[in-house]
Amino acid sequence: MKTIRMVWIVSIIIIIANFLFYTFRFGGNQVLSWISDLLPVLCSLISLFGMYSAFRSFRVFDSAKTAWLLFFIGFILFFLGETFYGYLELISKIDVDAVFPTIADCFWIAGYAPIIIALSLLIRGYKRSGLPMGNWKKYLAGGFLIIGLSTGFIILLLIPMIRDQETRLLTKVVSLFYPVGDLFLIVPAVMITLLLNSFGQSRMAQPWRYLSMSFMAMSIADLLYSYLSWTGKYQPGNFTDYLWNGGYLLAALAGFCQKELRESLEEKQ
Amino acid sequence: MTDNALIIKILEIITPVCGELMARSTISVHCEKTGIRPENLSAQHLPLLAQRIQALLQIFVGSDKAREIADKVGKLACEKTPS
Repeated sequence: MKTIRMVWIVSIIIIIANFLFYTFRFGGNQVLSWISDLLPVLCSLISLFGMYSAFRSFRVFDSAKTAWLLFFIGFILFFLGETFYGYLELISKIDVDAVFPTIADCFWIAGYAPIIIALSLLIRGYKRSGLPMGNWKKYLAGGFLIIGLSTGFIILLLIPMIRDQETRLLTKVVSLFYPVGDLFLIVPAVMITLLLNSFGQSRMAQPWRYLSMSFMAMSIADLLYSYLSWTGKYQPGNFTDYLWNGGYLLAALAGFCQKELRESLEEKQ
Repeated sequence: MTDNALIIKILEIITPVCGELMARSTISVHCEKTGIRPENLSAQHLPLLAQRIQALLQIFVGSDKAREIADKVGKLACEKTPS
């Protein structure tokens, strides 16, 4: 429990620091840019440690260990994406919005595949147990959420982007990849959340709970970012950053909870 | 369901891992699928139930730990349990 408590404390400190810098803008825009670019690097690095410790805690290379390995790979790619983005903006002084897409996008895009596969492995593993997949009413509610997000995405982003004659094809494709990829993340994340209702407050479900919250936070951040950046309203210090940073920290918590669950079972033996 | 001493023992083993709700749900789903009334669950039904428990747990705790827990449930068949 010590590690989890520590991760919670570190996470709260990071989010409070994030809030203070964004609200009071100590040091002006220069410092704000550094904070806005460096905090995601730090948070994704913490998530890497969490994912790695979860992966390491499994002894047998089964579907559970494979899923955590895939999460780890996905978060390495996200970390590289955050690092390259920060490097381009802070060190190389490149206007990343003007040259979009950049090498950072290659890493972010590549990170989706292992994570989506890992989520489907978890759901397939649960399905194999033959236990109920949940209440249809809750799925209906989840379905409405996803349909709502998809409709918003189509009306606010997809149609205007396709109609825009000035934007390059590559920029359009990459810009649209994120919200589409996020919908693929949100669907399994919502499904996992619905499945976990049958577990009550079980410790076994805790890592999955944090994971699904993490992906929901990051997907909503991506969708908001796509909209804000398309309409030219995104600036460093935007509130969507909290969701990304929080998403990474929740993923870290998921990893450490999984590790501690395995350790507690070892101790009980 | 808790009137059956065997079920109480199974719950004692799996509840700390998967929580009370899921532990009870696993047993009741198993009884439903195999057509056994929970109060009639006996040692002869344990191997299949142990398999289901293993299938549920392995994606959460890994196949090694899931097997260990399922083995504990399976071994209850060797214990003398008042029904």
